[in-house]
Order: sequence, then C-alpha cells, then structure tokens
Amino acid sequence: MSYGHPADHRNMLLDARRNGFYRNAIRQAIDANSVVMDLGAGLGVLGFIALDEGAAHVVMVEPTPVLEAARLLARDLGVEDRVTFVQKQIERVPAGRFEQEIDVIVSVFTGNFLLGEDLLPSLFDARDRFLKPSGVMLPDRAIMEVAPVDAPTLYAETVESWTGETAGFDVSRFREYAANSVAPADPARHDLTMLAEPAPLKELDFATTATADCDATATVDATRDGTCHGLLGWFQIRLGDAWLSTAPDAPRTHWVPLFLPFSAPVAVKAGDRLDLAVTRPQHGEWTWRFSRGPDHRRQSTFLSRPMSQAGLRLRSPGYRPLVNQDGRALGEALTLFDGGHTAEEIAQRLRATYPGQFSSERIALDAVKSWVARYGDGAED
Amino acid sequence: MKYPADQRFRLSPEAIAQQVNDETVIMDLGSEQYFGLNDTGTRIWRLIEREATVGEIVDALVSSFDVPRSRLESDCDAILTELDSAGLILPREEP
Repeated sequence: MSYGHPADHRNMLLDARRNGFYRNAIRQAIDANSVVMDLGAGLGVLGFIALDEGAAHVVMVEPTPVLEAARLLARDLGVEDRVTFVQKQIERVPAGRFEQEIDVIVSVFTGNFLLGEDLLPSLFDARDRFLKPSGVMLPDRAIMEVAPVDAPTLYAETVESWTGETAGFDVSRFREYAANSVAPADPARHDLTMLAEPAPLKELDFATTATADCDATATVDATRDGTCHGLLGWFQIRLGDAWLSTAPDAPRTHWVPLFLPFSAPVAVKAGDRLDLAVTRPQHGEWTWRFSRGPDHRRQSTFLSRPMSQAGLRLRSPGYRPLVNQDGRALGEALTLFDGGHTAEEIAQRLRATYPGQFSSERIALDAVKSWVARYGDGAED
Repeated sequence: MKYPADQRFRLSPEAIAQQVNDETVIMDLGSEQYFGLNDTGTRIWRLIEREATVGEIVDALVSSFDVPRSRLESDCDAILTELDSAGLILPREEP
C-alpha cells in the first residue's frame, strides 16, 4: 500500500468513528505539558487533534513527502510553532533527536487483521527509543479475532473467478495462487455469514511485546449449517479505556476484515467442532489451517505466487552477493553525488558507460532522479 | 547407505512446498526457514510424498539418470539426511 499521496489517506482521514475514538483517548492521556508523537503522521490529523485537545507540542514522523501537506495545514491552523516535522522512517531517526521526551505515541500502525503491512515493528522501535518510561501508547493493546465464514460472493470474486476460460484459454492453473491469497472483505458488498462465534486468536500488549506475529489456534463449535469458504480475520484495539472493533458486524471503519480462503469449501453442520489455526511470523507469510473431522485445509500465502530457488537464495542471510550491472551503475552514480554534477550529467555518463542498462536518456535520467530522491542529501529532514 | 532400503518417510505437516519447473521451494512453518531442492531433490520429495521406500527412491533415480547406482545412493543419502536434519521429513512408522 502506498501512502505517498494525500489521496491515499482519504479513507483514514474521513473515518469519523476512528477519529472519535482517538480524540477521546488523546484527551484522557494528555495535559498541557504533554509532548505527543504522531507516528506515521500522514496528513497529521491525529497530531492536530492532540494540539486541539491541549497538548504542548507534537512531533509528526512520516517517511513520505505527504508530510509537507500536513505542514501546510499546520500553517493554516496557526500551530506550526507547536509541531516538529520529521520526514523519515522512525528507525532512521537518531536517539536524542528531540529536545523533550515523548509522553504519548499516537499511531495507526494496525493493518487489516492487525499484522498486515508489518508496521507494528516500527511502533515498537519508537516505543523503545523515544517514549518516556511512564509514557502512554494509543493504541496500547490489540486482539486478533477469527471466525469460519460462509462467503459465496466473496469466494466467487476472489477464487472461483479463476476457474475456466478467459480470453480464449483455460486459466484454472492460476486458481491455486488465488486460493492461497488473502483478500479484503467488504461487509457492505459481500454477504458474510459467520458459522461460529468469533474466537480470540492472539492478544498483543504494545507496551511490552517485542514482535508482531501470530501462531495461534482456536476451536469453535459451528452455530449453523453452511458452507465454509474460508476464515475471516479482524482485530480490535484499545484506545484509552475504550475498545475499537473492526469486526464485520461492528460499525464501519476504514479497516476491513481479511478473507483467508480455502482451495475447496467445506460443508459445515451446526454443532460441528472446527479447529482453526493462523500463523503469521513478523514480515512472513500468512498460513491458515482448518479441520472439521476428516476434512482438512491448509493454505499459505507462500503458495500465492511462484517462487524460484534463485529468488530464495538472494534472500538468504548466508548468501554472498555479487553486484549486477544495475548495481554497478548505481555505485558509479553515487560517487558522482558530490555536488559537482547535475542529475542530467550523471545520467549522460551512465548511459555512455552502461548502454545495456539505459536504452534512452530519459530512462537514465529517470533512474538518476529516483536515486537522488532516495540517496541524495536533503531528501529527508 | 545410512537409511535401510525399506525405510519410508512422510512429509512433515509443518512443511509447505511448491514446485516450479524442476525445482522445489519449501517453507518450514516451525522454523520459519526456507529450503530449495534441485531436480534430484524434487524427485525424491515427490517420491516420499507417494510413500516410496528408500530402496524404491534409489531405483527410480537409477531409471532416470545415467549415473552409477552407488553415486545415486550417495546423493540420495545426502539429500535425505538434509531433509531429515531439517525436520522436513519424518520417519513413517510401519504398523
């Protein structure tokens, strides 16, 4: 998910329910001396709420240039002198960067089914390096929940649509990739029927936990007959003294439940004992299992795309890398980032040296511009 | 050979494998590690999946490769040992 444009933040910005829960929690947590970190600030909404509720100062940390839009709003609101803007990933912000200790960290680092997007490790880094010992995190706890689901339209859309002919040929071989892919579910559009009471899967205490992962099981009794097309997962988070749920039957927020499908649906009868399991290492693959008597399902996003040994080798910590031509070109470009060469001059030189990598001046210049944005001094605060 | 000819194995329930062309990539849910198998390893993996004995595995390799049996036994031993050590295969208990 890209968050580099203001439009990418629309759903979160307009999530009145979410904003209300955060505002109440912020009001409970702060006083006139509080310094609040709005982590992953985006357009800065939560930081501005903190100022509106009386915080002394807000530090907005956001790695994308969308932070500049937040700066414009700060100017409009007349609060620019009460905000520190840091356009950096929090992991790259040096300790001691801020004059004051942080009293409160406000964040929205909870993806769909909590662990999606793997943002929580960044929250833990901020907690460990910047939050004062008595500091408050909003949210500070989360619970992942799961239920077996009868979801015919969602299943048809995400899995069955890969069956049969498309464009004149049979694409059914791609169906297994789809059956091992997780997908957002839209309770407003997909008919979702829970076949059992939701089961808590994993609870995370953000104040103390070191990793954001899940390796949990649950046993539930089916409460109705139906066809189990897969599992549905969501979470609730604690903000102050209130819990905000993203369950499919809860009032809508910008979060949606996550659908974990089966390769083949399973017929379920009321009273059936169902064993569920979900595994998701930090930065790893989702794996989900289901058993109903002799019927077993095991799916994993590991199987959602073809993987080669060569690709696997490159990701191994023990691999001894060799640089390729693209890397050599990058290395040469970086030696020219000395303030004495324009991007255009660098691009021309690279094109002359690596004609196979850059088939036109435009392609070479595009590459150099992307490297300047990433590696050039002054690209971040 | 390290393993008796009548030894059978089963795939670990913690191992998830995908085959692309003649290669196999395996993810071990327990250790969160990834493993790769070449053509020979992939054949052995498939035969284990079909409940072949070690002797049957070697026989199948002999019929597929123009290589001395002793060499294939050694290769098979090495691959089975790696898979066994990694917990990706488990001895199948005979009734």
